[in-house]
Amino acid sequence: MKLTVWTYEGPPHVGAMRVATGMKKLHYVLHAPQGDTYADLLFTMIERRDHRPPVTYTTFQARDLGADTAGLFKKACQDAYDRFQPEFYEDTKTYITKRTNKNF
Amino acid sequence: MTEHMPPPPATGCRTAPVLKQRGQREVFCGLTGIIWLHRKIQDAFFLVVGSRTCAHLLQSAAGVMIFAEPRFGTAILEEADLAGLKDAQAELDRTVEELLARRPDIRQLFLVGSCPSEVIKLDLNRAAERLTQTYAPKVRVLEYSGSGIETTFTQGEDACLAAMVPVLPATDERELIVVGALPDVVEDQMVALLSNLGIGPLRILPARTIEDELAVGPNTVFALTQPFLGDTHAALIRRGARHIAAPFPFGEEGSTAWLSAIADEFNIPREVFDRVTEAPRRRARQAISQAAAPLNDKSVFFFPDSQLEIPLARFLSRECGMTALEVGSPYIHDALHGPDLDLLPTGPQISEGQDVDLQLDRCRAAHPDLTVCGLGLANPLEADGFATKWAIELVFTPVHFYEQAGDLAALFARPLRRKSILKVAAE
Repeated sequence: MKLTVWTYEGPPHVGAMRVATGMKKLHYVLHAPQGDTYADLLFTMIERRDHRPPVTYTTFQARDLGADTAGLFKKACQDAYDRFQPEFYEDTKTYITKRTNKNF
Repeated sequence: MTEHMPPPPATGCRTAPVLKQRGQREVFCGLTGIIWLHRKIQDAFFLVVGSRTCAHLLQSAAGVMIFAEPRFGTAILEEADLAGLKDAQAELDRTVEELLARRPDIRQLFLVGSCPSEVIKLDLNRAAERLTQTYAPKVRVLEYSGSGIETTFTQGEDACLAAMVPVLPATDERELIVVGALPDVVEDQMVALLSNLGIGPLRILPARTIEDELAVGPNTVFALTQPFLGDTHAALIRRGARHIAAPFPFGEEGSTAWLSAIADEFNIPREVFDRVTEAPRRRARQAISQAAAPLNDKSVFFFPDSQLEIPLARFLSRECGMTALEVGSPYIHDALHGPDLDLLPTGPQISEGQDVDLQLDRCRAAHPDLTVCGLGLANPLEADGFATKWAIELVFTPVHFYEQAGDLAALFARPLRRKSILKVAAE
């Protein structure tokens, strides 16, 4: 455990978002809890981009963790594919996901 | 009392069907509440037990520059903590010792649970009890969850205040507790209004310091100033207190209805109420009529963000001449939001929860004059020609009670005014 009172260092999945925003025809599905969507504003507000980053978040909640969240992830992928029709896919698990869903 | 307002609608939206969808939510987690809570509670430190993502969120949400050492921080769980190779409770003891040695000014420490601490089932309740014993009487340690798997944005404040209720001393006094973190200047105005009405003793949760602490019991009545305090509402009722239900104090009508409900509870004569509120009501009406001109006959669409959406839609509909097309809220509690829903004219789609892509489709189809949404959606919608209001400003700007009613209308009017100026300039 490490005490931190300020940090400018982002987590790796935000780095992966930066890669995704630098490419075309790519969509990024992030298996992440509610709140991780804060990362969108790094691009829409701080960088003042005029479009949302090409990212879909599965937004799992506490009640989803009692069961397998793979169904939620599959649905998010399918919905994102149908809506955005990407040619490439990127998916990442946040730290939480790695801990909760080892079979992922 | 409401002689200046149109009569309430015959049915209102309380029984309107609510659209509930499940999907991607474009919202903050409850950790964000630390940004305003650490300013409000002046002797508290908020220690998030979480990940690098939590620390990065707080940094991004708090603004880019922090000039002094803030009264919040993150105990970052590292690989060895998450893998169970280290005793997390012992690690937490060490981190808190390091923190309190560095910050002798801290009297209250909140351990704030996060997604990773909840997933590894780190028992912060046990930690808070143990640390309170270690550091009492100088420091009191409490815990609550601000995790994204449990809380949405303003629910962080709710969880924090709810955590304080069980440790409040007991009393049999008949007292009023006003619940909700307001900017100090607004809180002072509210205290002056209630005192001038002759209502008291008055206590405020959260108190500014641990020395100002209040008590609660079966003769306590309480009023909420924020519509997102559902768990705190339940915790106070468990302590025997009774809720005074009322519309929330936004705009002239909301402020008057809120004060009136409390005045009725304390049997304040109507002529006293009218004498105390007449001048501020008139000022509020004048300020709104000056600021709200660009809003008249315009439509508004609310994405869910802070649970302020329903009372604000009521204010915009009844005092600013707007038509609400959709009013989205992360959660709707009848005990809290019912009085505002009663006053909201029928028509808008009321929605709870979110599937952001489907809601964006509805917003584009409805083509509102003004869209109230989070920072992740605002610029992309502006690029498509929609005027937007950043929902987060409504949480960070003083907007409650009479003296802020004009500013509240002006917050919504500004994007419309700017759009019309840009349009004229382009022609």
